[in-house]
Amino acid sequence: MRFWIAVIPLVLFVALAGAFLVNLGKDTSVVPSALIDKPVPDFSLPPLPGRDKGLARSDLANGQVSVLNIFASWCVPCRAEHPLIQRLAKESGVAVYGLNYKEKDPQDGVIWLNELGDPYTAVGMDISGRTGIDFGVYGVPETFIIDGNGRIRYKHVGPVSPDILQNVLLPKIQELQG
Amino acid sequence: MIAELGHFALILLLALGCAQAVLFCPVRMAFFRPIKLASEHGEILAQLSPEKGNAGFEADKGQTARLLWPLPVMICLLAFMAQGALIYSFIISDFSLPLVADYSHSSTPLFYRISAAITPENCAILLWISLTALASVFFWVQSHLSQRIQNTDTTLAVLGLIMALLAASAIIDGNPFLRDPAPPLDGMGFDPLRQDVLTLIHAPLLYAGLAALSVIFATTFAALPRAQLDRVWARQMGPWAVSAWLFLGAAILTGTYRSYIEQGWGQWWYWDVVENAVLLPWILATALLHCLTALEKTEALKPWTALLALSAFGAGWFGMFLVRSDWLGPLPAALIATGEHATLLIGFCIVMGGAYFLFSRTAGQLREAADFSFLSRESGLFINSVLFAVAAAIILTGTVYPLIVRWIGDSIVTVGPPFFVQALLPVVVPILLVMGLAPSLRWRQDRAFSLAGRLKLPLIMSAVITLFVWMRHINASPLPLLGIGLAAWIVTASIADLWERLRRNRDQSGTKYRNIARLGPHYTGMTLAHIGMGLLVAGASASTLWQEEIVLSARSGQSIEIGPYNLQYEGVALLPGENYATRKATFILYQNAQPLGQLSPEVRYYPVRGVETIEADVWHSRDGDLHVTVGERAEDGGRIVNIRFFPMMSWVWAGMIIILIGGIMSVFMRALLFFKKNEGPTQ
Repeated sequence: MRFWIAVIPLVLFVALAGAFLVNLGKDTSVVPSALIDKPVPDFSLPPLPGRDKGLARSDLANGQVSVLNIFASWCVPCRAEHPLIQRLAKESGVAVYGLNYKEKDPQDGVIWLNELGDPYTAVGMDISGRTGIDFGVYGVPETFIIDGNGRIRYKHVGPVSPDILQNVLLPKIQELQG
Repeated sequence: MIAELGHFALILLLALGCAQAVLFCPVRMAFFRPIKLASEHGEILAQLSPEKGNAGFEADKGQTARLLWPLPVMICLLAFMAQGALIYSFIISDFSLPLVADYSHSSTPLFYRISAAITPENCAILLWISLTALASVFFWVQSHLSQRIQNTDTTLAVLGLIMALLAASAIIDGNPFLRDPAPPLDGMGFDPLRQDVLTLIHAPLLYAGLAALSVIFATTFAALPRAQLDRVWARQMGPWAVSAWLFLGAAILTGTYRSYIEQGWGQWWYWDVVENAVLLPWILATALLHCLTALEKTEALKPWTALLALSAFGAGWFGMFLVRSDWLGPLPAALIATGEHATLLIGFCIVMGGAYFLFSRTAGQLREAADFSFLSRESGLFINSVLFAVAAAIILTGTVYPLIVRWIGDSIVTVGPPFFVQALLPVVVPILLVMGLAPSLRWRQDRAFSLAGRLKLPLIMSAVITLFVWMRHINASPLPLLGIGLAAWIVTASIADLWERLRRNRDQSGTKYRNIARLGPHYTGMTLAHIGMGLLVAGASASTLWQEEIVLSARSGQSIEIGPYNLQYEGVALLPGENYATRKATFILYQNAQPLGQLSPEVRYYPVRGVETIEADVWHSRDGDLHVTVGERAEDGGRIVNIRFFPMMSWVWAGMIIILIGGIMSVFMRALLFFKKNEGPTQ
């Protein structure tokens, strides 16, 4: 009897620790998007100041694979990944759209792109962060891969690294293009 | 160069930690017999174990510690070297270290660069190791000073293992000293939410608490195999348990006050992972303290005390793992993924798995020296510590529940304050009830009739107070009323018991001073802590019951009335800060047309991270706290102003401080007793 009581803590511990150990290595930063394989949320965003084309859902569901990159001028990792987004646009050949997230001043995004170069086919301004919420954004930068039917097929949270570009994003785009 | 030195110190620390774990372990004789014969140290080892024939499990009298004491001291020096190297790299803004680039910036003031080297979870593991190493040196000193410390060698071996595992985690999970081949020109800046003195104080307190818990864990682990969980064990754990409890409590206080100021709506507890990670070990340490009292007095509750001693450290480690790993979602402000910290989890599994396994093997054989009846101090302490453990289990469940659901059902849930309040209520109410009752109970056995006689007065007084409050606030919701009633019960019962004891002591003659001194460290600490807890519950209940809130768009010169006060809004000024720009509002506070002072809440903008933080300003007084924040410009041209009056909020802060003073008093009186005893036989 006393032996069995003494074993209870061990059993509970093994259950809890086991659950964590088994799930070790599963990349949870990818899973949380409830939007995977779901259609892109409906939205329509105004263009950057001085440009005429904004961004809307129809741009992302036009029969072609596309990439949506969420960035902000105040976000340092975005600056770090920017050259890789440029490489992505050049090497993949698909349209890369930008969502300029929660800018203090609409002009900031324009200055930023003028300074670093503009790889985006079109950019929408999400000043309020409302569209960002629909996309489940919880840390800028984030990068979505969207298929021709306007379904989100992949989501990467955090800055894109050369490794991720080469081994994850580009293969995924090729796979979707068939 | 300095960073490489730190790196080297860290690796050496890992090696020496392993060495300590192996060399100090008394079981080594059985494992390493062939190696021993061949080794050069064979003679030394032979000297260490005169009874060689005994198959490896000779009594641990601390011989190895007497011989190899430089080992723990070396580890401690190395840990502080590594920590110092990291602080130095932050001070000189060496952005080739990714951690410095992630958490600092060339514009970060020097003070906060040091803070950035200590407080973010990824950097803090070095602080954790350093303080654990320091604690193990203190433990060695303790065992050197006092002849009655058991199992010194085994304890140091377990501590060596813990430090080695933590060092392994620091090296593998996110090595702070690995350089980036292409360093950025500047860093990402210190997290603005942490830019405060309180955060810098919080981290060392928290890790000092965990370090003390690791000594408790190691002592228990070492005592388990031969079931030496007796009075001597309880006495040697006493100072560690009180200081762990004290440090963790102080960490909770600083964290709480920080979020009270930092969050715009004046709440001070959020049930988020970071808070729960400190609360869990603190609750278990509280339960442990109570059980140790019973054990020291009557040798009761042995297995349960051992289980609490092991679990408190486990909860601390697990909490630190949860906070570090980004499994529960990265904090939006941090923007940096911190990684999985797999090594930290594996280390946790090794240490705690071993401990619970050992416990399951030996706990069944532990003999209770004393039996006690249902109505006795022991059972009061036992029931309360069980309730504490249940509360801890509820908090743990609430914290990891979102993860479990995600693993099983792939859906996302969040567990918020409503769950914790509802689930904890049925546990906390009995805890508070027993808290007033247990100190008056006699050891071993008590009689219900005489107990009722002793507690009659507090019972009547708390009922009267509750009724009085209810009459004045007939529409009040039942929960705060219940809180006030329970608080009154704890405070009156504690004072009644204190009075009774002082009276009894006087009957046995002695001056007033000696009366108080004769109460002893346990009783003094307990009474203060209980009264503090009563004040805290009363303050928390009253401030929710009577809180007033005004949100308005204020114009310069406007006068706002709230509670007993009158606030005059003067306007907002845009000012430069150290590494931020701030919109600082000015309010002049009047009471009965007398100016009391000035309040200046701020909204700070940190350009490096692009983050805005709210800094509330609070006026503390005996009546309550006036909590003022400012926000955006309103559409009508005024400024959004948020003013809250929390009556009796001062009781919450005073309560927390009194609880901590109770702990400090207890440590202080213990130290006095210890040195008095060592002076020689005075009595």
